[in-house]
Amino acid sequence: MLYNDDVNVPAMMKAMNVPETEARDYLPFGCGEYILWRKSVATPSGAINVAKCLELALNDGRCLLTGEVVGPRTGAPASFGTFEALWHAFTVQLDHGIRALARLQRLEYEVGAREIAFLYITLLTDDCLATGKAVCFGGARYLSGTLETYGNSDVADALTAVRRAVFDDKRVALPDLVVALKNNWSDAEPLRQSLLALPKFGNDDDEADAMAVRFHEHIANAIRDQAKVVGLHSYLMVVINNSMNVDFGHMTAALPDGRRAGEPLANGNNPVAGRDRQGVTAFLQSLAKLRPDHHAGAVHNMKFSRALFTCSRAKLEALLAAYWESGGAQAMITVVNRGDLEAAMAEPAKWGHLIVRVGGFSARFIELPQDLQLHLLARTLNE
Amino acid sequence: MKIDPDHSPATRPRGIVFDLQRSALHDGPGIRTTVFLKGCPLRCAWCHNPESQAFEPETGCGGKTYGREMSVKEVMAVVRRDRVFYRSSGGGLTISGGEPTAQYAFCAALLRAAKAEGIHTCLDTCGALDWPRLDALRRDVDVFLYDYKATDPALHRKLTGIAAALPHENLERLLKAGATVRPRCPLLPGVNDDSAHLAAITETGRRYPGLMIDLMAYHDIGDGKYDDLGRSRPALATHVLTEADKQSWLSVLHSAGAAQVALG
Repeated sequence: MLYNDDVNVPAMMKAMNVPETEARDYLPFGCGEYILWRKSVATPSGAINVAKCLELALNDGRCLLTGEVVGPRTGAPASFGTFEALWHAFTVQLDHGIRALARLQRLEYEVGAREIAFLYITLLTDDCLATGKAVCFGGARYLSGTLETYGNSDVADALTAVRRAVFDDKRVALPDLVVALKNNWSDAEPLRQSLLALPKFGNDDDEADAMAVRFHEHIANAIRDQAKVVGLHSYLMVVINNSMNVDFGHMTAALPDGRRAGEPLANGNNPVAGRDRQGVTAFLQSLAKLRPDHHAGAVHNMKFSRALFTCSRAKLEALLAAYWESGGAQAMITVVNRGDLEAAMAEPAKWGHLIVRVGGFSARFIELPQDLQLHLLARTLNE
Repeated sequence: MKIDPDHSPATRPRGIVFDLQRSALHDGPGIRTTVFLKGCPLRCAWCHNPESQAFEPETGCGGKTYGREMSVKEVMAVVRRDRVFYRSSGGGLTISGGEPTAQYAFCAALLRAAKAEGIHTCLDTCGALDWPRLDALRRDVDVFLYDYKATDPALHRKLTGIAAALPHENLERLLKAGATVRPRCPLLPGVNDDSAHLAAITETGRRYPGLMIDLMAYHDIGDGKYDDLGRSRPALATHVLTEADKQSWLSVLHSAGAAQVALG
């Protein structure tokens, strides 16, 4: 895991409203949410499924899987005459969840202070001994909070797809699209394919990335604004890495970007799995478009081949140097091995980004016939 | 990518592009964007990009379309997006194919546009064009990735469909003119890895000290593309590289004094 302090220190000064001396002590805690070492308490965090919020906005506050009303009644699909009207309904659903979770975080501290003093952590936190107060009871210099968001990239892709297919191209009416989502695309595969073909975040595509940025700005600010409402020093979005994207995926109906019900949501700030198909430079350019200075950290997973780490080490270093220079804040790096190629054969839809690279040759792994994939798999092992 | 509806002279000439790959790591120095131009006057028996041979766009059995018309402006809009990576890695634009010089006006205009923006350029060529036209490209090409396919004239014609004289002479002319050239030698065990060919490669390396030569071992991963195009790859009595082939090639080349040979 690599962190870019040139970006993150100024970003944390702004996001957490602290001087540089304190911002320098930002620390990736837990699953990647930043805290200030010995000076702040900001986790355990709440978690919100933003993809579910979009589902509720598309279905008047009702869960598409159960029919139960779980969000504000923001209007039937047919009532949205413009994309902006749908966007507004979506923000109402988001704000409903964010407000509740901000109150919950405050409540957790209050109950914590009353019921458990957390004395060990209190001992390790600045100021507590001097003031004689427990960490959650006025002891920590900054009593803060973080809210984990899941499905950010799914939402961005889904909104891009809805705006294009429903409002710009009028390819499908919104009520009909919602029926297809409810039925998890049964009898609507051509529609699903046409939606999958629309621009996706992670390809340095202006349209798709602008939507991701718009959503990122909205939700980061909406969460940050809750700090003063509930009385925390800061309350900030984190886009981090654990299994919750899978758990929330199970609870989420099909989405307008072509995702099927139950599939995992995107991991961290990453594009939806397998949708970054324009190469690693385009992927990194997309990631760097999401501002880091109004939230408390995001995880960016990236997979590189073993060959890149050995034979092309200088190019790998240049790749990352350019990412940092472009404003990249963080990189969580995995080296791809043979198991990934096998997975690509089993589930090609998720591996469209896997490029077979031999000088001058151009092919995507999933487009090769099976016997040649096996062949390539065997050869890769020898390298 | 939207097709630019603008047909003003500024967007001409237009070319047929069959692939545009960002993050290319094996087509010249650094991190590059490789533009693959469609159409080739050769028919190399081992060709791994058969969709690059015809000049017109075509559709495979699987429904995939190979080739689309683009303007220089449209290609450059993609190319310049990775400038920060070119700078950090010493990369840039590579024009490949097909044979890119077969779409000469488009290829030349693209090279010119890249150089005008200070972007490093590589041209991946077989060199089968008149010398004055190749010579004219030197101004805008930083590195020629230059195919050297077979030494024996009869074998060259048999394997590629064209005479050896022009590409061989042009390689010499480029080297003599002081161009930066990186010969790329596709080697097929049992087909063109005879001792005379290896000796010729070595000799070139010896006459131009510092010359980096790439050996490109035969592979058959392009065969699926032939299937999709409803064609079959020309019969070729070769096999995928073995460790023994590799060792024998490298020992011949190194013992003969060509030190800067890389097997890619």
